[in-house]
Amino acid sequence: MREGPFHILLIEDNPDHAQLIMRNIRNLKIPNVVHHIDDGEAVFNYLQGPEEGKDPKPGSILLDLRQPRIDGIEVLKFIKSKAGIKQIPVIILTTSEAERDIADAYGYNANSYLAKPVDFGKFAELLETLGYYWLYWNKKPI
Amino acid sequence: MSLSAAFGQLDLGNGSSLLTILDSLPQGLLLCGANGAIIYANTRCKEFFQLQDVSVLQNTLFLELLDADERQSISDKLQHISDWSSFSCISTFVRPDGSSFRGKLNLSIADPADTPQILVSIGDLTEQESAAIKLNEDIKKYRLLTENMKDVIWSLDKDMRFTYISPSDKLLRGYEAHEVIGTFIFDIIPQEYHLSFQTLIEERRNKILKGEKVESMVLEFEVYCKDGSAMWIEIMSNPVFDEEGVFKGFQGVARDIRQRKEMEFALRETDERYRMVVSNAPIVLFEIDAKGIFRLSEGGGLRKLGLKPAQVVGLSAFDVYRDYPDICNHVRRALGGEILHEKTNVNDIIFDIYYHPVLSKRKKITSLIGIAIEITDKDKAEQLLIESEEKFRTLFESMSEGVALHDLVFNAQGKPVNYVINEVNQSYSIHTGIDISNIKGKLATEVYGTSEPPYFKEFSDVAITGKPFSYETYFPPLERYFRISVVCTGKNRFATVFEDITVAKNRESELKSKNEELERFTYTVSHDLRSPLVTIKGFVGMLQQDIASGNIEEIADDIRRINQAADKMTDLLNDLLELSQIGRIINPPVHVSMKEIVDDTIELLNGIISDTKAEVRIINDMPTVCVDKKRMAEVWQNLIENAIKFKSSQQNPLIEIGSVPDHGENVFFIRDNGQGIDAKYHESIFGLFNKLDTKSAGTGIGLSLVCRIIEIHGGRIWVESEGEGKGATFKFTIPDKH
Repeated sequence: MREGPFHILLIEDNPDHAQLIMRNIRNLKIPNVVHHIDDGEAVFNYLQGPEEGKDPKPGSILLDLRQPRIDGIEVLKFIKSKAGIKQIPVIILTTSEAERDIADAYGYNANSYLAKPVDFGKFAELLETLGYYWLYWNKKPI
Repeated sequence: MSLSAAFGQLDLGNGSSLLTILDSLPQGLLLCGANGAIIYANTRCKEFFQLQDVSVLQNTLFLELLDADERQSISDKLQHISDWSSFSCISTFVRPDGSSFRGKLNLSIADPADTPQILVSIGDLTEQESAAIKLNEDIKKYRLLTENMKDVIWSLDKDMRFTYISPSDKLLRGYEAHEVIGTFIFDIIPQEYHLSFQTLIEERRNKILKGEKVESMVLEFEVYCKDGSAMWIEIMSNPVFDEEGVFKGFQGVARDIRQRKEMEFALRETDERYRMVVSNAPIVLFEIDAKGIFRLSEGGGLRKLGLKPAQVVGLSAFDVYRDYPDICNHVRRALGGEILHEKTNVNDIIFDIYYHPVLSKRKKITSLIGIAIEITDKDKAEQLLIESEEKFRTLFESMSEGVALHDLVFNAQGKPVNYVINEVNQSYSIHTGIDISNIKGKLATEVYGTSEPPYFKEFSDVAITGKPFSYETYFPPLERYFRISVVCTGKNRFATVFEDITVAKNRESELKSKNEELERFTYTVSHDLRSPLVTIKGFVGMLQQDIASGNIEEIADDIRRINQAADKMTDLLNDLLELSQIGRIINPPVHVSMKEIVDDTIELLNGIISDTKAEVRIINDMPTVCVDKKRMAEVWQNLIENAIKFKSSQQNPLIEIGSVPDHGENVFFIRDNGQGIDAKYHESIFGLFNKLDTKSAGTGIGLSLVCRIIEIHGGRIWVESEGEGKGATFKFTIPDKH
């Protein structure tokens, strides 16, 4: 149905969380490639020049809000303001359930907001659902 | 030689001189010189002229003894009489005391030698002569009277029938005399007078029959006119007797007194009206004579005192009011000539009393007129008003809020342009810091030193519309926050009730920032504590999967991650505990040299300093501070550790520590030549658990801790760095007071 693997950009500062997310996504029966970036600075670099074909343009972006060197909201603002990449669905995946974060995220045009469940079963279930929804069912923007 | 001397020498031979004879004559004799001056007067003249001594007449001109009107004619006559002839007439003589009498005058010229002399004789008039003269004069008078008189002359016979009525009755009542004569007196008098009239006539008749004297009498009553109307007349009536003294009837004069009666009625009506007003008004009108006796006591105010009008008349004011020394005193003073106005309480009824002495023509005080006005209710109302005023004044002055009363000020076009301060309470100065001793009546612009009156729009709206208004505001001229309530207190007037809320406002903003800090803290904590939990639970799950699938290689990694996350969590909890203790557990502040603290800290960190070959220099002797010594050591420890930790690739790390005075505060600094910090992180590095380098050791709580300790000491901390690779300088202040 799809041409080539699905590229996911994972922006997550916590290496443990990144590992958990990646392992869960890997378990999905959908061909995908996860590009993990662990700080905001690198995100800008990654997304600066997708035209050059250096880094594959992701089909969706998983973004943690609380980054040490750059606020997730700043990354979101950057993505959603930049022509060529602002159509990419950005899924916020964070430990924060603060109303302010949720409001800010949607305010800057996040496509989805997911809080990381503490319980592993639920964590795994969330990533499975997320994977099928965004990777399989959801139509990629053209 | 004088004639008297000559007469005196004449001896008549019978022992009496001529003078004695002259003195015994019934006539008065005057001998005058040719000029008319009296030379001699006999003793009879004493009686005629009612003198003590006749010699006073000497040298008086005799003409001066005559009535002034007759002098000229007598003087004329005198010119025409010849020697030894004489002239007689009846003349009016004037006495030196001004009274006069009528007498016979005889003038003759005597010329015994060559000096003409005038001899004047004065004689009594005979009765007939007097009567004739009187009659003559009376006739003249009566003629004069009747010719001009409108009065009616009438006479009645003893049966009270008219025997005569003068023609003037035609003018008075419209009757011809013949219509009246023979009629009965009662026919012309209205019925209501008959009884009293009859009684009066009987009385007089009886008196006459008993031989008692009946005097003339004046009566007022009404009579019928020919046209049927009644007319008020006054009659003067006298009884008439014949020559034998038999009573013949009455005669008299009647005259029209309608005009006078009308005036009397009008006066009586006016009087009645005043009496009615006085008797119903809540006043007492009184008069007290010089002896203190009530002569008048009238007015509706008496009812309140339980008195009837005139009840106290005839009684002494000093007796009636003996229990009221005030009143007695006032009466005494008014009778002494003072005009008084006093308030007096009589039986709990309060009167305003005016006392006015009354003076006779000879300026003697004859009585006092007083008017007492009952003012009990008014007085009570006044009292209540005073009490209420006092109450509100006390409230006004003791209010903790500042209160100011104002009036709007309008320009010539009727537009409000300013407002004037009428009154302020004591608290006004507490809230504003403005001295209130000279504030009343001043314009707002003057008091507050502003070009526009403060809050003019708000205030004038309230004063004009009457709608109250409250708000909080910052007032720059006084650099204070106020809560102001404005209320309208009358047309174009308003009051402000206000409070200086600067302290509360500052607390509020402090509280707000504390709340924000707390919010940030809980947010941070929930995120940062949840994060390792997610890791632990996640890898426990992974571990289960790996064990189930026999994925041996991953198992060790899973366990390592679980362990690390658990450790991280322990660290976080410890750090949080420490952070929360700052500000709660306080070591008492001590005066200590900052250099000493820094020295001790360097000593403590000696190990890592020498490991990294870092050089730590203390640039100057830092001032003494008053701080929690242990906490201040933690500040330096964190800052020095950070400087070493982020030395980056620096081969010769250099750390400089010192202080510089700046704007009255001491700014302490620690400067390194390490990796530096990008300007955009200068704020966030102080945030809780914020780490710029996730791979660096520690939880990221260090600078939060430092920041918190500095804040507790009342200081500020910030970082200066030109960017990455340029080194960083952390600076902080510690106020002296701490």
